[in-house]
Amino acid sequence: MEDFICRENDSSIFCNFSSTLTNIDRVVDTIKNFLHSRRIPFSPFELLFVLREALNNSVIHGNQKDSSLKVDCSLHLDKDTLTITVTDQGKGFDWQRQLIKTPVSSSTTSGRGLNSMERYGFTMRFNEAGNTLYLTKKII
Amino acid sequence: MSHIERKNGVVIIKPGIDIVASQCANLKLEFLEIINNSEKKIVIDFSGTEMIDSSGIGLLISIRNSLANYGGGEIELLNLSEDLKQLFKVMKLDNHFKIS
Repeated sequence: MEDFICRENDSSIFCNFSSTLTNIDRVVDTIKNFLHSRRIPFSPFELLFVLREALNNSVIHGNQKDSSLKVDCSLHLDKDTLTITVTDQGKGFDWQRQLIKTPVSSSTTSGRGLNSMERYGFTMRFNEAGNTLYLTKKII
Repeated sequence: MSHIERKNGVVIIKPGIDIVASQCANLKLEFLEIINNSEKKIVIDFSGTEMIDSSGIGLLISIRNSLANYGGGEIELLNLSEDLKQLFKVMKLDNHFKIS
């Protein structure tokens, strides 16, 4: 089985890949090209940053960088809404506890991923286990 | 490998790549070598760096913390794109780094 597959149509792109840090770069580059070819009416920077954080969480924390485990990532562009879904094969985490954690101190070197998604205006939702993240944002 | 230049007691390091999780292990080694040489001021030149992620931000914070622990060294971030400057503001880190 291939370790990196992406398929796309007019409004969506889906990627399935092995949990390596290099593959995160490949997915982000592929989705960057997808957005560029669809001529989206906004700067992709925030979206690519948030996407990368979601993929980092799945590869590093969810699948513990175990390359035998896969991550699914899809991005869908609706008329006015952008949806990103990322699923890993890890055991999930207590996302409710994580979301109400106290703010990250400026001298702390980790723990900014989820925080940054909210700060860029994305709505976050998890499945019950905490191994699927749904991100949505109005784009108009 | 980053381009490293020493000028008037300042070390200027230019990674020339995105400072993201896949690059952080190598970048950390380069930064540690500089810190272990007792350098007091480090300038990171972001020319050629389009993106940073939370792993990269964590790396910059650990450098800042190490310099502070080794007797008040400082770190400056140079040539950031407007998007990256905005990112440091959004993350409320713009007051914790000298950004120019």
